[in-house]
Amino acid sequence: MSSLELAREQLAQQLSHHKYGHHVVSLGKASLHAHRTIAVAESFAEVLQQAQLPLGLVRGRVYQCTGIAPLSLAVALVQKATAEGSWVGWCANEHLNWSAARYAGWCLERVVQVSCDEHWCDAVVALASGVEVLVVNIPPHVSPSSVRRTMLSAAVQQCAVVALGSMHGVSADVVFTATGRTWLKENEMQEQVAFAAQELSVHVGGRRVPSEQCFSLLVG
Amino acid sequence: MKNHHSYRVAIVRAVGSDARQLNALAQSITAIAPLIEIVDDEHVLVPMRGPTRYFGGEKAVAEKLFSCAPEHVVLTIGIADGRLAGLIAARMAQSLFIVPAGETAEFLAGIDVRYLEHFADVSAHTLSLLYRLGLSTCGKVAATSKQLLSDRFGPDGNMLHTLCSGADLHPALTEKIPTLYYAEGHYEDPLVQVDAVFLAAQQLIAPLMAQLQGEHLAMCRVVVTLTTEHDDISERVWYSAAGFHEQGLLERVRWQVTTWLEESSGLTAGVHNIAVNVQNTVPIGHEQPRLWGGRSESDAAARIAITRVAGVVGQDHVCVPEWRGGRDITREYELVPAHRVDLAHYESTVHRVTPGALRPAAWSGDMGQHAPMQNILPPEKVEVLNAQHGAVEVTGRHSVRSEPRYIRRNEQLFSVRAWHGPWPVEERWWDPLRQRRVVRMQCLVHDGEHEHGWLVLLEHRTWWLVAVYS
Repeated sequence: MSSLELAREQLAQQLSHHKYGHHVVSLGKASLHAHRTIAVAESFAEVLQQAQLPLGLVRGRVYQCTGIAPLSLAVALVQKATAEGSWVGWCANEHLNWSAARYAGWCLERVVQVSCDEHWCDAVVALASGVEVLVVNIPPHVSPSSVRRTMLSAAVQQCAVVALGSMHGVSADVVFTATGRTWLKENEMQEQVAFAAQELSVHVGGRRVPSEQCFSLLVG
Repeated sequence: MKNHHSYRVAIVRAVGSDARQLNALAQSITAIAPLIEIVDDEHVLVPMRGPTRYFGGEKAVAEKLFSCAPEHVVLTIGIADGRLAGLIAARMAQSLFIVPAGETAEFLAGIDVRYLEHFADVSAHTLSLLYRLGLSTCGKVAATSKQLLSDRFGPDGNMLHTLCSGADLHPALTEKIPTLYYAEGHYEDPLVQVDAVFLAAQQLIAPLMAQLQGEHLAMCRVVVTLTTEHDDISERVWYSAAGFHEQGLLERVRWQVTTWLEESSGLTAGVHNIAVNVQNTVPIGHEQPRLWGGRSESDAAARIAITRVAGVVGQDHVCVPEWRGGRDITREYELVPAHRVDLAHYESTVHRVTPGALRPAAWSGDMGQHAPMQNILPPEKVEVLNAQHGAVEVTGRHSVRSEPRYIRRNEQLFSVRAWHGPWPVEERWWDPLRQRRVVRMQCLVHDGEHEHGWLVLLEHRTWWLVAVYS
């Protein structure tokens, strides 16, 4: 039992012994910053609920985006967090198209990118101390034990980590895998046709997922 | 009124120097002339009035400055009536370039306004507008009425006119001037670590910045003095025409502390006194406070983390996106080092990433929301081939001569399942040096196992893979 819960119970006992104690039915549960989840878009919230997971990114957990469109998945997963005031650290080799991210709903004023290869573990730990979501791509030279240690440090600092692609044998808490996609066109009746969006088939699994799910996600 | 000689400056450019060499150069120059300014990581400004009289002429001073060059560092020197002309002269100089006193405006008259972006921190957006207005040289800007420029560009118009006329917004210091604002910290336990000195400086500077901000001012010339127990002193004048933001000034102080501690002579004692003297200020715009007042807690935590991670991987590897514009969807935003931008003020961070007002809502060829998520940097050369394995060409009317069937990337052949385009893009047509004409095309390709979405671009008859739908 945590110290907070212990204090709450002691307070409830004291109040119950008070002459007006019978009025005290229950005490509201305090919601600390660290206990609050980080917002995700509705399509993700729905599938997380179906998978019996909290409706958002849990601080300290590792979410892996993999399959045929890991970047689009990660951008969609993190979009609501940036829009609601969370800082996002981008510590990945992939060159994100910032215009596309903005069109996907990212607030770019709260994004920072760190380019590093050599000091990847130290950089991730340093960045995790101040951002709420960290998107990473693990360089091939980092050993699984270093990855585990780094993820643990990020978890201690209450940072949600979104890993792109392979995690070198380290298992993630929740894994989103894009298994298939359909291209959607725009202005088919007009002269200028373009592939406007992708409808991804996404599988949700991972060691923290009691009930695996599949869902469709529309991304730009 | 002072004559031109009062404002003469020499800009010493240390080509290819690192922080340690630049500090060594600054130390040597301080012996010749006090109150020098380190302009950036390559240039040092030396006020000329005193040294010219003492050494008997500008050429004699220049010779003295050349003798200060650290090993393996080549110096070029530009001497003029102001910072801007001095910086340009130093860039143009083989070794020494002297713009005669009183002739700076004539010297600048033929200079392209593009130099203002690099040497005077004028935004690319403003320069683009100047070009479109036909004001492509400093001379043309200087010949335009100050009133007209102010009406069109606001406070920036005044600044542009002053700079292009050859004057300085804040002439270089030739003597110590009264302090406007002052903060000093005295430490009984001397500070021996770089981080401790940096933190102490931060604790002095942050409240001073907040006080100035309350008065809608920003410090633009600051003298930072560090003193050790044994009376070793490091004094630096820092200047920013647009006014310092907290991060920017702190980074300069970090540089001052780090290079000082790395000097070959070394320090014999810890720092026991830090003084920050503000000597010039500039007015800044008003900032609407956040809904709950002050700054958000997560913003403050992120700024600290950014400083921390910069210490691990180096400042230039920690970047934030900044809006640049243009019609190339992969280059609309550019990454700039976080230490060079103001992350403390919400208004300026929003301004940094918000598309310019001049961006058209929609235009022919705009990919807008269909932009691929991943850029390929640098772009990869590919071959777009037709059914006969010949190169696909695009006509002047922007239609393909033959259907794309294959794309060869790194010797691997991908079959093209579908394609759309080509869409023409013409950028900076008004600028003969930077204009660009390309066509781009969306392609769905198959590698035998998976389907991929690519954006390819044709420029000068060569196809490039610029982005992928990842």
